[in-house]
Amino acid sequence: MASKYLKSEQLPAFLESLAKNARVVAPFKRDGVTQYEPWQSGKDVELDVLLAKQSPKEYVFLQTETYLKFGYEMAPVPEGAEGEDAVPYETVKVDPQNEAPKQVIFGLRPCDVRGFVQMDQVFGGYGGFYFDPLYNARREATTLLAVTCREPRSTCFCTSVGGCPSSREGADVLFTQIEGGFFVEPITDKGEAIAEAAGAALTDPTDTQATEANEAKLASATKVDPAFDLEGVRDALHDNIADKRWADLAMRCVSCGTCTYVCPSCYCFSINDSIVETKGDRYRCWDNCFNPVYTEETSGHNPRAKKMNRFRNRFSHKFWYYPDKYDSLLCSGCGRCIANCPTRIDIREVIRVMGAPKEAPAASGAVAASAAAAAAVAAAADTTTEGKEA
Amino acid sequence: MSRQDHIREFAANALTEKRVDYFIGWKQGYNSSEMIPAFVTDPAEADQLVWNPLCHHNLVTFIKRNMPEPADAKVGLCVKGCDSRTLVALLQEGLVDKDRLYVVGVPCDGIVDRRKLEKMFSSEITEIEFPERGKVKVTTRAGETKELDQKDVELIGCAHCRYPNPLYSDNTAGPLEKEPDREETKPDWSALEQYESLSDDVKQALLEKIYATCIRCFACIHVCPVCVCWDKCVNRSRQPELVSQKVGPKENLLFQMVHMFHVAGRCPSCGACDRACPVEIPLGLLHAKMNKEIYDMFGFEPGVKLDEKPVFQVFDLKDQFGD
Amino acid sequence: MAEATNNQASGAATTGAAPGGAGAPDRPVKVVGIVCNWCSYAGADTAGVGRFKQPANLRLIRVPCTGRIDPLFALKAFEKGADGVLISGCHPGDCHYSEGNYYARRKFELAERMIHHLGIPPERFKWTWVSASEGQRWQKVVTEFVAGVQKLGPREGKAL
Ligand code: SF4
Ligand code: SF4
Ligand code: SF4
Ligand code: SF4
Repeated sequence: MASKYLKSEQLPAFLESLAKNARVVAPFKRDGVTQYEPWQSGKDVELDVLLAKQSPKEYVFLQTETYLKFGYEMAPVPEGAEGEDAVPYETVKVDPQNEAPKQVIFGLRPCDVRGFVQMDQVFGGYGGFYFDPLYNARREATTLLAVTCREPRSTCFCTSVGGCPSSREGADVLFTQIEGGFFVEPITDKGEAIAEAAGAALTDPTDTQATEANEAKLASATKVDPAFDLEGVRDALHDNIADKRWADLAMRCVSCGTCTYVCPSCYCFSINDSIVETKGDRYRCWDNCFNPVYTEETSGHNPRAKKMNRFRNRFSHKFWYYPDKYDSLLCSGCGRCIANCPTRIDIREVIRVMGAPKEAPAASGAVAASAAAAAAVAAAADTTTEGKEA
Repeated sequence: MSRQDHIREFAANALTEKRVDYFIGWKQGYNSSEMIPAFVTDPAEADQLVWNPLCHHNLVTFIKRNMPEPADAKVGLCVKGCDSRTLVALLQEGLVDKDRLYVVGVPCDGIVDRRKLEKMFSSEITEIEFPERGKVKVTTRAGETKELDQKDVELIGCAHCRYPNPLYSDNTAGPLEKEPDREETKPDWSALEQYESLSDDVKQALLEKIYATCIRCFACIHVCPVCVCWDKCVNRSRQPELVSQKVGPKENLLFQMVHMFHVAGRCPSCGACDRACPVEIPLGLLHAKMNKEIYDMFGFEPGVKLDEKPVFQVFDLKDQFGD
Repeated sequence: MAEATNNQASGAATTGAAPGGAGAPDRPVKVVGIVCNWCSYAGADTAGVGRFKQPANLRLIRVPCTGRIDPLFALKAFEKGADGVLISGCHPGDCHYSEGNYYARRKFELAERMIHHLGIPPERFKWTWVSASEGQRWQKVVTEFVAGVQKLGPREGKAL
């Protein structure tokens, strides 16, 4: 579908129109902290602070999701029953929950979108693995309106993992900020439906505006510092598994789990029952591989008993096991885990050190990475790119 | 010789003489606005250690139970005044082994609150310098530069710090800082007044709003130097589910209250939890109040005297609580 | 709202009616009593045997000693919807295990102060001593406490 133009002043009206049919979620600043929150009329969307503290994954993959309610009750004794049949007994009544209200997330960044794309593999039945109805229902009901990043942060490294600050991959519509408003590119059917519904709020862009948008995209891609060369990382992680440097790198980690909870692509969860008297909920809630008891077995044995084991798992999972199993990385280069870690553990450094082939000097990655960045820019300029994993 | 030079020298000597297996100090992170804990094993690398008002990490975290690697490592570390109180608290209860420690005390004249700075700029902070004592120069990614008075951007705890000089150390990095008159002045809890003046209903509504944003990442308890069962936490127990694993304001507040009670008498309000929280929950609101009440009840300040027992580990027949 | 426990969403959406205020449900209050086996539980028993009239809103939890009571118990009760929490055990000096309640009273005092800090009114939390023979005192303590809680009504705590 043809691209459109949205005036900045029209943004509230545009969101208002979306809110008629769906819940609208967008980044807002509250007490100085930017977070994705449900939009309400009159609140100003925060697009200047790049990257909300947390990724928007909590709106699709809920932190706590009750998926079953159950209760114990007495089964009715059939009329005229005798003997054993007449003995009352208790049954369990099960009531599955699966709500997926329509929602639109506006203002998320290409790396946030890519988090969903990567996570889709694990919940979406890729390779014949489990298809998760809860996640997929929500994902299906969610429309993603991404915004090109204007000022990438120093911790951003999307271009090193095959992304780019204006990537269309997974987004339904891509907005790019230009003079006086946004250059709007509907990408999918869902995106087109949104653009159509917006009606007169969207106008046809001029050629200058199209050029301006393209320039803005190119400019932002060059602002992302190359972090490492992805080539060979998977094999190096495999070869370095017993390397002593893992322990050195993990020293200042406190094994908390902040990195995983702010990450757009970490997806681990645990399942619990909570029962009060005769009624209970079965819910799943986020869990993470840094939780010291995450892998603890009933016997008391814990295969990842040490901080270093847990630390190694997170990075190896993202760049080695997950790609092996799902043919996709599990990191979109948003840099949230770096900026929010209490001790600023730097995933780029970890990959530079542990993802470098044993004999090669660790620093060589950066040079080749600039080539990767250039390729990403080229891909961004080519608006027809379907956004396949590099 | 600057404090930083002292730290480097102490670290290098301890490593060379093999008195410690590794030395923990601070070094620069991914840019000059971020200091991070540094673990030095090679004396030649001691010169990466730094000391400046961004060195906020309480390194005592890394010697609490089940943190050191290997478990019986001999560890050298730096402590500021407030950090040393958490160390003393651990020593009071025999929760760390004195003989495996080498402690360098760093007298401190205030630590910068990086989050206060972040809120002053819309662009990311990429550089922080200290052109002279008491001045902070901040540069952002967009190229904006501003010079500020350090006192205006310090952590809340620093303004009324009663113990700027470490209370326990083997060596001290340079001359001591000026101490307040502790006989004359009481601890200051004026930061709590505004909250305390609220009505019950408003307090509940406010707490609900604050704790709704907690993501249960556990950074607060993992960095807490005196939270020693951090890796076997009642808050993580699923069977029995003492604290619900659900994430919501009530559950989150309950979890924080558990942490608060478990460190009562040990927590000196070092602020490490506050600074670690990724969603900036003002955890000090609970801990400061707890310390205020403990002071009111017992005249006790946690982690001050080595030979003292924390107030909840002992009792006095003359206690006047209850009816 | 899809799920009340989705933290961002619920945080933004709910800062409405006051706790225990206008929107509070109309039901008898629920009060949890945590009592030690040797004194207060026995005291409650004495009250029962003596046929002293007591409010029916109180549910007792028996523990070996007040020294066993973690402030977490009271907080957990509030979290799960209790309208009031009463803690009682042996008078100081009478502890079956000699000194449990000496430790306990320090904890309870701090707990009480912190509970008020959270915006839970003083009428909803009480700790006291009732011995096995004080059936009458038990009746008085319970009646007064429950009446105090009843006056505030059922609690709709927003935080805890
Ligand atoms: S890497 Fe950082 S955020 Fe992640 S568990 Fe370790 S200390 Fe926590
Ligand atoms: S691992 Fe870190 S950089 Fe990668 S997607 Fe997750 S939070 Fe972002
Ligand atoms: S650090 Fe903050 S967000 Fe994480 S568990 Fe603690 S209070 Fe919650
Ligand atoms: S609870 Fe917070 S303030 Fe208290 S000792 Fe632990 S980290 Fe420091």
